[in-house]
Amino acid sequence: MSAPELWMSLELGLIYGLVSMGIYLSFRILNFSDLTCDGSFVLGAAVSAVLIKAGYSPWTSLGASAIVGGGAGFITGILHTRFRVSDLLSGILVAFMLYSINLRIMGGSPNINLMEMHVISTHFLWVIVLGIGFFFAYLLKTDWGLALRSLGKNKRLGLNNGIRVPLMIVAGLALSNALIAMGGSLMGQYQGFVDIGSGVGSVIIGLASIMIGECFVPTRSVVWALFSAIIGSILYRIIISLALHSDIFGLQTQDLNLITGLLILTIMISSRRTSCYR
Amino acid sequence: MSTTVSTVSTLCAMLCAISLPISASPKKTIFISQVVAHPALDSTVKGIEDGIRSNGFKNAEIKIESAQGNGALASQIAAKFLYSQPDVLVGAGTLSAQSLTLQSKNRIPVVFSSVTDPVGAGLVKNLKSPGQAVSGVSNFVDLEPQLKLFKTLQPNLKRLGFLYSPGEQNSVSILEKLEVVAEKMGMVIVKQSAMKTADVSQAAMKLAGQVDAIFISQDGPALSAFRTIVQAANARQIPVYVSDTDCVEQGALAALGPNQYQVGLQTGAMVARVLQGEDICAQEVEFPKTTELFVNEDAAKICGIILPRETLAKAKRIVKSSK
Repeated sequence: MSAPELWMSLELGLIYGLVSMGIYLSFRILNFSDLTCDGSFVLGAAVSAVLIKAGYSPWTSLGASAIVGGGAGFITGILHTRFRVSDLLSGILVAFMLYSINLRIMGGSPNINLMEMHVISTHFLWVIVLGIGFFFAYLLKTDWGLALRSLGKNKRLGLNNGIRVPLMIVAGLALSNALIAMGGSLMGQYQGFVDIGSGVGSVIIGLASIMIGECFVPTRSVVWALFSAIIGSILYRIIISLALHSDIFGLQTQDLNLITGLLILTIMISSRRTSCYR
Repeated sequence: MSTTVSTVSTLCAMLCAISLPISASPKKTIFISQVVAHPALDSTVKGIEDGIRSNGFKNAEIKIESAQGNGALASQIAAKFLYSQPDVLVGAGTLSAQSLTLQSKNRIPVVFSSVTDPVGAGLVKNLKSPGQAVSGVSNFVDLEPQLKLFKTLQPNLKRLGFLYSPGEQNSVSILEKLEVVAEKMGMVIVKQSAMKTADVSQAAMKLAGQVDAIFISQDGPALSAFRTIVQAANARQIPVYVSDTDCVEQGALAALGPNQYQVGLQTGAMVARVLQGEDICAQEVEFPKTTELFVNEDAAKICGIILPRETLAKAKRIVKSSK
């Protein structure tokens, strides 16, 4: 693997780090299996692409994507808390419906190109992603964050302590999807185009990243866990880069998913054996 | 001792210097990034490979990777390809072509294939002079001759159904142009979307009840599930038209266009020209050169359509069962 490839893995890993942080928030902290991700990722990308095309600054578009992404999470949350749709189903339904909405936002065209548009420079990626990471780390350390974290552990306990559980779930999901949508926005700007199909599998990517991160940074601290999601996401991209080079062993491009999966499993199993954790 | 070594090394160097020009020209490397694997695009890629080999680069090293429809993966493939410094990069499909173009930044020539709207996709500034080290072959087939053909086969054709996937840029840009052309010819386009292969049969069934004929133009999901469209149309005794001649054998009534393999061959020829040293910036974007007419007599019988003699005479191939 070459230096440019490694560098790209870092950058892609940072961008998808936002996604894995979002998924960490819903799956791990809230203990809510939220599958809105596949839709909200593209939603963020679509909104920011349209805004950039309309002449808005890429930073404005990043902010706007966070807001609409938060809206998507809000709807999933309302479906679950208010209308008692199960967590999996409400996420799936919202992601499913978002496909059509995203196409509407993109004006019916499934691919918008941003080449030669003014986009956020890749130098800022570190600042943006780490900045957001620190902000969320701080948020989770506050009393409000503590209340949020308690829900995933024990809802009844939270309820008995006067936490407004439904409201907190909705807020948590909104934050999670805002993060994911920002990931989508940055990804679109990074690649120079937004495609309606780009969200497929982002839940799996995010979950795999979290688990890789947990293996490498065994920790009980929530702040470290949040950052381990970013580290895991970077490692995931490096693994894919490595898997892309498996052709020297006579493997073909259609074997990529198998190789990636096996590499991830190897890392997870071997690190669990050697680390002191458990 | 040292003199012997130096003599030997000088001799070796001389031998090398002599043998280099005699041996075949250095092996060219061509890397192809294909956006996703489906039958139509696979045959394009096969065509690109054969096109390069048959145009004087028999021993070229050709590597193919599929991005599995995933943008991030397409970028990573592009980074991997660029590091190896191939002679030409080929992007089959809009998404792959876009990521190669963006990553290569004019360092290595990029030839695209199977991109319906290269200007809209941001690959080239205009079709005549690409303006950067990017050019290629679009798979857009002129719509007017096709619609005229449908009219000759079905003079009463008023409502033409168009089954497409709203997630495919290629299909959406064809639809935009189709609606304009059809209006001029007094036809109404009834559009029906099918996002995945699994949705196609239901969509075709619904569409078949509303239209006089169904038209499929190079849409991945629709072509992958082409059989189910033919079944739905046959049940209503309406014909299916396509732009890809390969599909006529599978039950379409007629096609006026290239097949995806020929689009690939044409791309391969352009790659070969670039390898021979032609400047890529001077290459105009090409459209399919050879359009052929294929008709299917069995399908005509099912729909109760009598094929005019002139049409049969023009047909390059007439498909009929041996019964």
